[in-house]
Amino acid sequence: MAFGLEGISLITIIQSVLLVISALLIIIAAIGILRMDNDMPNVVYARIHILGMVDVAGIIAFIALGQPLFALIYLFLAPLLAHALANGYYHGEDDYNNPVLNPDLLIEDPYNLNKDSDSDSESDDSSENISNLEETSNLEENSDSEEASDLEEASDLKEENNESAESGEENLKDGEGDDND
Amino acid sequence: MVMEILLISECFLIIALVVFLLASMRIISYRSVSMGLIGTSSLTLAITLVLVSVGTMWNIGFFKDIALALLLLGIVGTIAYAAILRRA
Repeated sequence: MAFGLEGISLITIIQSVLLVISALLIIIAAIGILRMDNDMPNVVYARIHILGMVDVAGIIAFIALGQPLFALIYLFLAPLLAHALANGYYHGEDDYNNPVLNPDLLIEDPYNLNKDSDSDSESDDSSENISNLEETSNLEENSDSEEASDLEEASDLKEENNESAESGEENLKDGEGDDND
Repeated sequence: MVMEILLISECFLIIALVVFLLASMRIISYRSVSMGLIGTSSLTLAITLVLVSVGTMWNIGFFKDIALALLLLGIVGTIAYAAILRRA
């Protein structure tokens, strides 16, 4: 065999290559876990995801070391472990995603759970809005024929407002004078 | 030469596992329970691999038995504690 590998069986070479690959995967995963920022959201799920790569590297290493029983056991138990950890974290400690632990996440009410408490005010507001919309639509329909009369009414309203404002100022002045007395 | 290449690769694996043991201990040192569980499960896997590789290198038989017991009981215990964390 070439490259100075005379006398080495192919199985030994495959074992060595698999062990080196698993070692590289484990080192990369260790660096990735340590470099991850703790303030990042969902960092626990990210770490569980990285440890999935370590699980695969461990299975490869078990096979390369000649222990298929270990590899088979871990092949079945590793997904259960990762899922149990993620599930336990979500229901136990996850304040970022779980609305049970963090009620501020319920911004909207998709199932109308608070329907009874806000129903009266919402119904009043909605009826007022509907009546306003009807009035505006009627005004728009009759706007062309009543433009002249509207302008006259507007000028009358302005005059009345000016008169009422002047009378109000006079009343205020009188009131201030009474207070000073 | 036949044993050397396998021995070198096993030593390389053990060095990588030692690095990973340190990383998993760093994870265990975080305050939350779930991070402790993640670090414990990874520590269990790393110790199991170290035991199997050392037992293979020096032909120590009972290391494999210890590794098998550690693998089974460690993972089952971690799953059980995660179930308790879910209900708590």
